[in-house]
Amino acid sequence: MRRLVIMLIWLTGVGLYLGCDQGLSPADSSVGEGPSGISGTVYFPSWPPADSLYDLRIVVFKIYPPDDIVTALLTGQAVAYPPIDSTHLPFYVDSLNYTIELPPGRYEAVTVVYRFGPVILSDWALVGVYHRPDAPTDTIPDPVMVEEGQITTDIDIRVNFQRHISLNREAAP
Amino acid sequence: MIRQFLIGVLLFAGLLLAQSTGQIRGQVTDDRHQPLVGVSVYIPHTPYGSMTDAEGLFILKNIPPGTYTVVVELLGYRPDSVQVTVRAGQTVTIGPIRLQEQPLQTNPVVVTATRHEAHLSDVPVSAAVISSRLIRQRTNIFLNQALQYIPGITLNGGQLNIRGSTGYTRGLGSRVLLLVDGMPLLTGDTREINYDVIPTYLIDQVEVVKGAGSALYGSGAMGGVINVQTQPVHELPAIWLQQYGGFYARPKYREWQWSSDRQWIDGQLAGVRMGGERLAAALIVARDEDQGYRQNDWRQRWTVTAKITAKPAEHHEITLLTNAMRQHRANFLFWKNLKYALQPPADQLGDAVQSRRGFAIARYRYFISPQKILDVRGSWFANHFEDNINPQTGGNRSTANEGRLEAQFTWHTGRHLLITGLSGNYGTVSSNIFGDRSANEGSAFVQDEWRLTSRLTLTGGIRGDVFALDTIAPQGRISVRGAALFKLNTAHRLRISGGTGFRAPSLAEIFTTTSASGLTVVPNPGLQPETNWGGEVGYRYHGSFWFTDVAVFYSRYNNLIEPTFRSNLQIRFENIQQARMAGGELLINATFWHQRLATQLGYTYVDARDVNSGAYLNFRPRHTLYAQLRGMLPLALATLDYRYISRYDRIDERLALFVRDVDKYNAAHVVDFSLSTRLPLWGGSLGLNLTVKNMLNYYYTDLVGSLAPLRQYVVTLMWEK
Repeated sequence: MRRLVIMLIWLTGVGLYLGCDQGLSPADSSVGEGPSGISGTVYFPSWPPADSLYDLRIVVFKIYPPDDIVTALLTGQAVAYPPIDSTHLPFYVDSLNYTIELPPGRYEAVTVVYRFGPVILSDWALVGVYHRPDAPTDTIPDPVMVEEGQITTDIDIRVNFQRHISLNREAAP
Repeated sequence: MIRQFLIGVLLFAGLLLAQSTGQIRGQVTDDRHQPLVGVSVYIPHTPYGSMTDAEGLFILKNIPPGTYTVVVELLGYRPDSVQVTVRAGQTVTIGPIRLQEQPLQTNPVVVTATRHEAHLSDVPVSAAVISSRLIRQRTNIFLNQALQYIPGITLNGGQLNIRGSTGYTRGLGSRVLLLVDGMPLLTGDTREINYDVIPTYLIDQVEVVKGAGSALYGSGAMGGVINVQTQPVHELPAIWLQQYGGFYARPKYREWQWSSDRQWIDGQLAGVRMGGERLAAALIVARDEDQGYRQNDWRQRWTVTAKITAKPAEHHEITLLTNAMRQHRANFLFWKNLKYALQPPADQLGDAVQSRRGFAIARYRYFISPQKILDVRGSWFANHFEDNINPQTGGNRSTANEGRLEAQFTWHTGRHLLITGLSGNYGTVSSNIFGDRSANEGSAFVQDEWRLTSRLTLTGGIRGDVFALDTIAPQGRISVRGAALFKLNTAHRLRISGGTGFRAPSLAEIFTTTSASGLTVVPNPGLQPETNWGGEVGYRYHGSFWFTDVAVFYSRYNNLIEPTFRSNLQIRFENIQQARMAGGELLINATFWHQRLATQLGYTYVDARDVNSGAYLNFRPRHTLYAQLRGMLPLALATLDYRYISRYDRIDERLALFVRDVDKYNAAHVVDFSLSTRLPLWGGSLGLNLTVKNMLNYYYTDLVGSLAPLRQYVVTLMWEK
């Protein structure tokens, strides 16, 4: 009888141990099956003349406002699309869809920048930012969250080449 | 002069009263001769009653001469009774009365099912009771933690679901009515149950009545009624000190280990009770802190509770219960994804809510005669919360106040027990999301319990409610109920009952205007009340060592209010759904080995469907199973609880727009263990309690996008004198 009780206690203990930590696990998650990043559409209602259009890119800032655009790209505080060493976005289109792969995290600004002059280090201007539809102004960017394995969609930007947006969070005249 | 004369008359009358009546004194102990505190000692069908102090002593005063049966009851012990003859001017001493421990309590007295005191076996509906002893033993800090052990009840993200009545609407518009000492206590703006404000440490017992109960309690009592009965206060002085502490187990998976620190739970409580024959009071101050098993899921709470009982004259009793709560908690809504299930999305980090809530419930009872009781109650419930969740508006905030007055007259005449009453309430809301609103309601009710024969009792009741919600034209509802209880013999009961219920929409469901994360909620002033009707047939066997209850039930719900998506991702609450719930419930309780071992088993099956589409309703588990094993060890009481809740058949797929891995949800298998003992210490007694919740550390969802609490170890020390 005593052996039976001891055996029962042992069996119960082993059963409890084997029954522990069951149920859901991180491996059941769908996260990690796809890339993470942002996607959307850039709209171009008008274009500048060809002699003042040298380059055009989407730039995503981790810190905003930066001291200047080029420094932010060189120090890794911003990501350019297409990357700096490849061809710029196409010119003279009405709109273009884009998808940018980014590591998960918070991005302070998704912008469109263009180079209006020949000096590669200084002739850049910011001409469009992503903002929420109900934002009070279209010159102050809204932050964007990127979750792991998820493309954050509808990050749409309307570009106005006539208006260079100040990096001091204020619209340029 | 007149004042002195009156005082003289009162003193003389008191002297005469003392000489024309007698007293009953005594002591109650357990079978190991340890004094039992908090034992109810009363003479049935009279206003004479008291409770034992820490030394197990009691006294019943001003008893008219005669022969009485004194009943001695404490949940967890077998009730006893003693015949006593009282003579004028004498004190009768009885005892010590030794109560035998009984781990299984199957027939407690309840008031919620019929609005008057009746043994559970004699109520014609499905009802259940949780004792304060079990709440303490399981270290249930919040009321919802205690309710999840009742068969037929599940919680969807904290929202109460009785037999399929409720899915998940983020708490808005509870279809279960919460009462505290018989008075409704739903928040004035959202009409939700707020568990934080219930002082679990002062609970005497929690009664649960399943099924529509609007004929007794009005709006909100569609799925059932939960009545929190607080402990009575008497003149015997007492002190309580409690400290509990514990921690959460570390999750097994690296991805879920969001912190290298252990997450702690702790709390303190101090209370005192004092007073005299005419006036007695209890004051309790409590603090709770929970660091949370999830990131941004912490909570800090302070609560002050006071209860005062006054007996200004014989047969008159006044009680006042007040509670004030201040809480600061983080707001964990949904997980980031299952891979990082214990972390919220990054943009919700830092979300927090501050709330201040309080209520006061005053009750006056006049025992006109053993057959007639007048019961007048008033309550006030104040709620304020503010959060930082919607930064565009500077956060959401709301202040709601509600006052309520109710009078009930109970008259036992011949074979009839008549209950009739009036109630009314007025509430205001001031909020940046609900607007500045008001709501008021008035009602009248009558119920007759007719003991047709010694075996058959019939009950019928009707209630009319009129309610006006801010600028919307007043509306009315008539609710009815009927029941029959047939006693086959002393142990077997057959019952059949039916009734209607309704829920007036909350001010939040009608008037919410808010916008967050691109979603906009718009108001719907045309929202109509939800209604339901239903019934059940049941059989109950109540033996000395065995208890069985079987019930089959059916409910039909009309105009169910659900949030619906409109164009441009606008959300509006609308009456869209007709639904029906059908099912059955089986409860088996049994005791073995001279009642030293007790088992409970409860299984509920619910088939909850949309009437039009035939689809299963969202967030309704089809099967729930609850089992308990309680054993009296030589020095301690050990309890093992197991809960199984089947996987939701269906969820709201639209949540996938906001929640990653929303389709990753599973059934719950939860095992809880507790061990408790009591030792004499410093002239009082020290209760020691060890609780291990979710002992198997089973990883399950308590709602979609929400991993339920991990294993917790909690030790509680409570000293009382």
